[in-house]
Amino acid sequence: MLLDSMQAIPDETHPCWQKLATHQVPNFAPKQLGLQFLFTRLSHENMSTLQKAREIHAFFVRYQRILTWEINELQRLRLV
Amino acid sequence: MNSLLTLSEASRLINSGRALAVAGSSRALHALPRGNWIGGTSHYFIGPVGGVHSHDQVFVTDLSALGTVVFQSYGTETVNRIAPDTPDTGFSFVIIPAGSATLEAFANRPYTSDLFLKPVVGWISGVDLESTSAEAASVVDGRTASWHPNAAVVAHVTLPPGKLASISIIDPFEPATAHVLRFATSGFSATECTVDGKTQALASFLEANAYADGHLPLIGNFSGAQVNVSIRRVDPASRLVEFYAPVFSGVDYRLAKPTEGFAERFAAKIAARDTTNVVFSCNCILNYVHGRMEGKRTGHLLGPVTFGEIAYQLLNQTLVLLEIV
Repeated sequence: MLLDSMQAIPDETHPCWQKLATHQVPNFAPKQLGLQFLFTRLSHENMSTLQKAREIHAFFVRYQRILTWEINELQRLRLV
Repeated sequence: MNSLLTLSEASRLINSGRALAVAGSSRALHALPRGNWIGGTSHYFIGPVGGVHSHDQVFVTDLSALGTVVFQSYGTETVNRIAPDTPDTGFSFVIIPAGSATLEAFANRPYTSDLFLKPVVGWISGVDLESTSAEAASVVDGRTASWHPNAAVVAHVTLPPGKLASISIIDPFEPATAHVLRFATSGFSATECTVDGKTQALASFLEANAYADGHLPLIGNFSGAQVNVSIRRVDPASRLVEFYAPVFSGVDYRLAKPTEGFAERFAAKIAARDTTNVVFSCNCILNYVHGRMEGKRTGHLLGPVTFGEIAYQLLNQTLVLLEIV
């Protein structure tokens, strides 16, 4: 079952964010432009995985309402 | 919200106290009264009857209709502050002159936590392609009637509670499947890149494939987003290839496919999008010129035709949309 995108998303310690930050989920293809840019820039930044995961989590929290497709993808890929 | 207006109509709107972003020729912008507005030189617009080149009209975006507006100007040394200064519950609307050091500094901003967390949208002011004068692209702070060839004028807009700003793009181009280009360093120019893993002189590669005239862009793949970088020129002596926006290291670039029926395919892409919540859009001068868009519409989207577009970062040859949802 796909989750309602307005349901609470996992907190920043959930492993899904670190998996996304380290590109362990090749089938996850975001559609929201800001998130696409964030993913690309983070992949080239010299930051800890934990910090990258926090930045991705922060984006999902702020834009949860317009990330319906991406949140459903996290569900479909069994990341959350 | 977005209107192509006569100078008297725009003056009335300015005198009403609305916070506005205005695109117009130098002559037109100089004719406007001081007031609560920022602007930039632009001579081409997509109006209600399609693409138009005009010195007697200005394109006005009413930012007061969206939220609370605070204007601010930035220079080369401070342009990195735009994203941190963007309201947590809003967006920033930015205008920067083409070819300026401030634009280069903006395009090369280092990564910070709010670079993509806070929406920054806008456009690059330009010149009249049909004029022989050497007038430079400029931006204007309408509060003081001060003109700047090297600054960013910015409207920081705080949205009402519960509203979000969302930026998206429509790329009229499609990437060709042949050849993947990668650059060792990011920047507005390059002499070399790898093509399918082998180092090559970029100028020779572009010339051999008939791309050196800048008609078609390179398309970078940013996690699925197509980001166009237009080719400005190839220096015949140094063989340096200059771009209108930076290429980024670590990103795969492809050549754009040749564009038969450009205007029709562009219109079809726009028609396929739900543009109900769009409150601003701008389109690139190269699309206008190469797509022969004078008199042609882009769906019901209106906006200035610009020398670069801003959707978080500097883009080329792209239609940028700002939605409030």
